[in-house]
Amino acid sequence: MVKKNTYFPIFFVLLACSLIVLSLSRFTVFQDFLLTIISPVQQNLISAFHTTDNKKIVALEEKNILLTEQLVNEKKLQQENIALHDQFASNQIPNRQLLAAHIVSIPSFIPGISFPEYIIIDKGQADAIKIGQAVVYRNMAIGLVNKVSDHFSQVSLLTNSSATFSVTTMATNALGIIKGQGNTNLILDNVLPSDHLRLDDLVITKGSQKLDGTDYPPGLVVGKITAIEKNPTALFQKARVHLTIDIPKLTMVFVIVNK
Amino acid sequence: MRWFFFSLLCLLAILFEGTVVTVPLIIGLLGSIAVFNKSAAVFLLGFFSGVLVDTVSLHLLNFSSIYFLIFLLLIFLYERKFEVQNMWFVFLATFIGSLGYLGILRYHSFFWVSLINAVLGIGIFFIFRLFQKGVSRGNRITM
Repeated sequence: MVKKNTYFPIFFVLLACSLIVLSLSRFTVFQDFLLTIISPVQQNLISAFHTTDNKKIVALEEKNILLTEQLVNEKKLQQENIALHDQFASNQIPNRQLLAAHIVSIPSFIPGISFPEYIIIDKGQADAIKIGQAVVYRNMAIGLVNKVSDHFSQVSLLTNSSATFSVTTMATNALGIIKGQGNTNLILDNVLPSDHLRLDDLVITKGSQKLDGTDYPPGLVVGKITAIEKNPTALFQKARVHLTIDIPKLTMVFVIVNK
Repeated sequence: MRWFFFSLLCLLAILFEGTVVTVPLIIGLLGSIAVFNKSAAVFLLGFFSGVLVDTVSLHLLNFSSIYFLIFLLLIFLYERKFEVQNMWFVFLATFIGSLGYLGILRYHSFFWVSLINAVLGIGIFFIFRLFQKGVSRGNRITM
């Protein structure tokens, strides 16, 4: 049996040393030095326990990875091809005015939970992108560029809660203002009571382009009227407009650059 | 010579622990060493083992040393009142020691890993007992 006074002093001395070293642990010089010595042994130990793979199997696995990469690239090219073909088949906007851009990020988008209000595209100042330029897909409005860096731009989608722009209905020519709600439903507001709104009518941009060519050109599809709110005592009538395009599923959009 | 052998065993256990397995072998080893060698030098072994374990596993340096020192102290305190050179004590000490260690470090499935470590600890205990029997025949070890 070890006597009390034999091991207690040693215990307390070592405990004190440990506490001192623990408090100085942000200085990792000692740890780095030890690791430099130990790591070769560790590496040899790992490789000794690592089952030696058949070379043929390893080669096949590498080929599999390569083929998967090629498949992904091909799929991407296919999607690009379809998007470009669709866009340039549409004669709504002259082709020379469009700049193709890939969507690289959809911040704060959680499928089924939140709807995106911004997207990031891979074109920026270096590609002559300016703040305010309209972003479209085929003949549908997507949003406006609101931030630009050298090689990337942020596009504020028309579903953004701060988005407002003038529109008109296709069938009845009713004028109004679209207001984003942060989801796929937009509000068509400020429609005069004398104007007629119809369910399933298409809502298109009225055109608010400035002298420098920024903002929405006329005739871009925004959505379809799904509900109408007409109150005889209200100053204006309202309608709910649902987007005709699933923005999160897009991989490519086009910026109207107006060369 | 004996302590050199124990140091070598600890080093091997630490290398295995930091490289190949996630089981804290060093706890079972230190517990068995403490049970058979009632010497304060075990604390030194625990201290330096802790430093190496933390270095190899990239934990906060000397956290393991503190834990091992307290673990060994508790074994010695228990040894003052009760008999510790038996399989069940080693099993329980290794199990509880591993449970606490892995629990603090928030390892996944720490209960089962502690159980495995406790079984390994018993294995180490039996090896040490055989070694001890071979060295000094006069010792009587109860199970």
